[in-house]
Amino acid sequence: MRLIHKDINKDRSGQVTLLPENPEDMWHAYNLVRVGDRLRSTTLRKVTTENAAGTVSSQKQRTTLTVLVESVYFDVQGCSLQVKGRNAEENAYVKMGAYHTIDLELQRKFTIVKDEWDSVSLDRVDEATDIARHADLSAIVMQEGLGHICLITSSMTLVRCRVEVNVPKKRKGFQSSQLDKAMQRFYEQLYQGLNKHINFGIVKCVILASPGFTKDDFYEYCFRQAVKEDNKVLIENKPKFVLVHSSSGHRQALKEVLEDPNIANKLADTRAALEVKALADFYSMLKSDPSRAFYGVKHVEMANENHAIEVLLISDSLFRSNKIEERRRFVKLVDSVRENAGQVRIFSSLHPSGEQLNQLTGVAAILRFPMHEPDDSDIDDDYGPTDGDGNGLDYPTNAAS
Amino acid sequence: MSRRRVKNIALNDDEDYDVDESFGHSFEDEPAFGVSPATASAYLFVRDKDTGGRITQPPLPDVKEEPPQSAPAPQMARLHVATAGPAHSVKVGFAGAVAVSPSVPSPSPRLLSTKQQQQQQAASSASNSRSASPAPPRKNGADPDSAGGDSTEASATEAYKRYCAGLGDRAMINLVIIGHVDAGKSTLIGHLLYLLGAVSQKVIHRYEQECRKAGKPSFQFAWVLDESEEERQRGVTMDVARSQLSTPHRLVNLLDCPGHKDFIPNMISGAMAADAALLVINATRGEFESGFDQGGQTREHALLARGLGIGQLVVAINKMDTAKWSETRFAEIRDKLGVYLKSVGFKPDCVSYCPVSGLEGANLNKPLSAELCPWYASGPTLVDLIDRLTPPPRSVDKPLRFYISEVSTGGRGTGGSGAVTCFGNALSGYAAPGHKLLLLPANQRITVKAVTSSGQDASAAAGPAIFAGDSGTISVSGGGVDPAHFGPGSVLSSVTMPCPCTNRLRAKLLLINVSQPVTKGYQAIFHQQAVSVPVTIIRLLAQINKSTGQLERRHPRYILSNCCAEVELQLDRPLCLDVYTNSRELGKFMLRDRGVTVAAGTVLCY
Repeated sequence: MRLIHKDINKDRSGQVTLLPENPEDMWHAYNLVRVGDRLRSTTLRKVTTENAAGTVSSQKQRTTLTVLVESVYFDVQGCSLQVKGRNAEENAYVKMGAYHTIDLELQRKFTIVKDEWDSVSLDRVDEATDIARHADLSAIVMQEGLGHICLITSSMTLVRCRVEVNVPKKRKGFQSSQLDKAMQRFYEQLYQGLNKHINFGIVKCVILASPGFTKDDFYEYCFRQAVKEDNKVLIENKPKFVLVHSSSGHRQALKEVLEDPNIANKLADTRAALEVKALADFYSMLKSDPSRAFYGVKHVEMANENHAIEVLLISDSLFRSNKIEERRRFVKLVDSVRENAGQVRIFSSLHPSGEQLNQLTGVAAILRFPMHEPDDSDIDDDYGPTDGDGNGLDYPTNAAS
Repeated sequence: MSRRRVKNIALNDDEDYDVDESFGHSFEDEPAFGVSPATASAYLFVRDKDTGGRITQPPLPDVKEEPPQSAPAPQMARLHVATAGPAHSVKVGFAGAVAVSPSVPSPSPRLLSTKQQQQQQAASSASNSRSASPAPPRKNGADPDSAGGDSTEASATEAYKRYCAGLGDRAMINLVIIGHVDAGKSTLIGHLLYLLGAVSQKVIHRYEQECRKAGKPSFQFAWVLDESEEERQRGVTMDVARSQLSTPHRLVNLLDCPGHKDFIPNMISGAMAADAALLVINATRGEFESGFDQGGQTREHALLARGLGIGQLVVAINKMDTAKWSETRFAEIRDKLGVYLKSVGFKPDCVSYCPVSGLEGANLNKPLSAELCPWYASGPTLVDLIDRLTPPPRSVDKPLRFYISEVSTGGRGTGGSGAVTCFGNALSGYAAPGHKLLLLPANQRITVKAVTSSGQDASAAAGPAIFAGDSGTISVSGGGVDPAHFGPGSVLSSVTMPCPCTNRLRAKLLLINVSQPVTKGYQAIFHQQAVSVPVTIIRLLAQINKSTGQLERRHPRYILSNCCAEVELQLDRPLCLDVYTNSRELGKFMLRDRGVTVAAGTVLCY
C-alpha cells in the first residue's frame, strides 16, 4: 500500500489517502474503515437519464463519491472490500443521502476520513505502507486423501483450495492397484490446484508438509507430471519446494509448519512467525507459572491497573467492533501498556495463531510478576466482545468452502 | 457462499449486482466451520434454539411411532425435538446457558454372551427370549417397515443360535497387534499364519525369493500382510492389515497395525474394532529401550489400547534369539513393562507374557524345546495365550449400528454393479439381506442387498447375516442410493432407534500428555473409530478428580496434564456418536495434536 496523503489534526481527526496494490492491502483497509467514518473513492454508479423523448436510458458512470460508512464487508477468498453507506458530499449523479456501495479496487486510491485516529489505526497505516516486502509463502498440508493448499502472507493465511478424495484402505483380498489409483487421482487434483492457485511470481517458497511419505510421493509425482506436460514454470521453480513434516493434513497443521526451524529462517521477520512464537510463550508461561499469564478482558484490565503487563497479546478483531466504546476500551488498554514499557502484539485474525487467540477471548497477557487471579464466580462464563443484541461476536474464520 | 465469491471476483463485470443481497454480513458472520449451503442441506440438520444451537437430527421420515414408553424416552425425545418448525439458518455464537438433561442410561441391556445365549436357547423358546429383551417399541402391523422388522427381530435370536452353532464351540475375538516400529509385528503374524496353515509353503517361498531380489531378506513373512508396493518397498506397515486364523477354541480376526508415529491414526481405527491386543516388544538390547522411551511407540500404543477400552493384553517379547533367550533379559523387560502397564490401567491378571521369535518361529504354536530355553520349556505358547483370551459379550440385542470404514461402488462383490458396498464393523445388533436401515449422518433410508461377515462364509448354513462384533460388508441396492452419502464414519443403523449424530457434545476428558495447558479454544484432532475431524474446545466446564470423580473446580481457566475434566467440544462436521453408557464403541474418542495423543475421552451427552 502506498501512502499518498496524511493529514491528522491536533484533535486526532483527519484523513489519510492510500493506494492499495495487492490483495493484502485490502485486509489492512478492512481493519481501518469503521462504521461512522467517511470513505472517498472513485466508483461506478448506474445513472438513469430520461431524455426529451421520454426514453429512459441507464449507463454506468465513473465518479468520485464520499460515503458515510454504515457497513463493511470483506470477502476472504477474493480479498475484496465493499463499503456501504450514504452519500455525504454533493455529487452530480448521486443525491445526498442516497445509498451506495463502494467496491474498493486495486490501484485506485481511496481516502478515509475519521473523527478520531487512535494509535492502533495509525500503527496499521504505518504497517500497511511499510516498504519492506515480506516473504509470501505457499504451503500444502496433506495426508492420505486430504490436502489444503494455502497462501501465507504477513497478515493473512488463506486456504486457497481443499482437496478431499476417498482413498480406500487395505483390506483382505486387496488389490493394491486400487489404492495406487486413488492416490494418483488425489495427486492429480492437488497438482491442478497447485498450478491454478499458486502464483510462482509472488511466492518465495512452497512448503509441502505431511505425515508419513505422502509429501515425498507427491513431490515426485509433481515433477514427473511437469516434465510430461512440459510445464516450464513449475520446473523453473523447483528449488522453491521445501519438504517438511507435519502431524496431519488438517488446517491446524499449518501452525506446526510455521514453527518448523527449517522454515523459520525463510519467514524470518514475518508477522506470522512472531505471532506464533508469542502465543507459544504465553502458553508456556501458563504452564509454568499460571499466575503470570492472564487471559480475558477483565483479568487483563485488572492486571493493567497494577502496571503488571509485560507482553499484551490482542486480536485485531476486537478493534473491528462496531461499538466505539469497545474500541476505545481496547485502544486505551494498548496505549497504557505501551506507556508502561510493555510490548503489544496485535494478532491478525486470519493466521491460525490469531484464530486460536480469538477463541481464547481475544486478549491475553504475560505479566511481569505473579498476581492473584480475580474471583471467577462473578464473571460471566462467555464474556467477550458482544454486539448490540448481547450475542457473542462471531470471530472471523478462514475456511475455504 | 460460493455465489458471493464468484460475484466478487468479477470486479470488472459491468453487470450491476444486487447491492442489497445478503449485505451487511461480513465474513465474520459466516458459519464457523465454513459449511456451504450445499453441504448443510446434504446433512439436513437444523439448528434448534431449544437445545442451545446444537445440531440435532431432523425427524425420521415416514416412520409412525408410538411414543416410547420406557427409559429410552429422554434420549429419543432429544432426537425428535426438531419436528416442528422450519429449518433455522445455521447460526453460530456462544450459546447461552444450555439446558441439557443428564444422560439417561438405557435400560439394562441383555448383553448375551455366547454361553448365556446357549443356555437361553436350551431353556426357553425364541419368542420368550424376545419379549424379555427390551425390544424397541414398534407399532403392530400398520407400519410396513416394522412388519418386516418384527419378523427379523424374532428371527434374530434364531439366526444367532444358528450362527453360534456354525462357529462350533469357538468364540470369535478381534485381536489387534501393536508395538513400536520394527518390533516384528508383521513378521510374527505372518509366520504364525504360515505355521497354522493359513498361508501355503509355496507362497512363502515365492516371497522369500522376491524380497531377496528386492534387497530385503528376512521380510518374507511380513510380506504376507504388507501387500502394497509401497509398504514392501519401504519395509514398513502403513495401514492396518486384516487376516484370520483359527486356534482350538477361538476364531481370531487379526488386525496388524503400523508402528510408526505418523500412522497412528490408522492404528487407532484398527484398534477401535478390537477386543484384545497383542503387544510385540523387541528384546534386542537397545531396541527395547528406545521403544520404551518417551518418544517410542510402545508406551503410546499401550496407552491408546487402554484408552480405547481394550482390557486384555498378551505381551510377546520378540527377537529373543538375538537376546540369546536369556531369562534375565526376559525378566527385566517383563518387570519394566509390568509396572508401566499397571500404571496405564491394565489389570495384572489380564496381562500375560511370553518370549517368542517371529523370524525363527519359536514358541509360536509349538512349545520351546528344553535345550533352547530351559527356563520356559513348559510355558504356554503364543497360540495358547491367544486361546485363553475371553471375548466380551456381544450386544446382539441392541439396535443395529454398523460402522462404515470403507465404501466401494460397483465392480465385483456381492452387490453387483451399481451397488454400494460398505466395509465396516457391526458394533451392536444384527443385519441380514432385506433389512431396511437408515444411513447417518446423511439420513437416508436404504435396503440391504447382501451381507458378508468375517464370522462365516456366505455359504454357511446359518445364512448370511452379520452380528455384533463381526467385521464384514453390507451391500446396498443401487436404486435411489447416492454413493456420495456413504463414507468412512457413516453408520447404518436401525430405523426406529437411530444412532445420534451431532457436532457439539459434552465430554469427559482425561488429559494424558499436553505440552501446553489446555484452555478455551484449544484445537486438536478428534479421532473416533475410522474418522478424524478437527475439534475445538469451546468451554471448560469443570475439573474433576481423576480417581474419586469429585468436582474440584468449576469453570477452570486451564487444565494441565494428567487431569480429568468435563468440557464442551465442537466438531468441524457432525459425526455419529453416542453416550458412552449406551454404546462403548461410539462413545469413546481420542484427541491428538501435533502427532501426540493428548487426551482420551468419553461422551457424556450431546
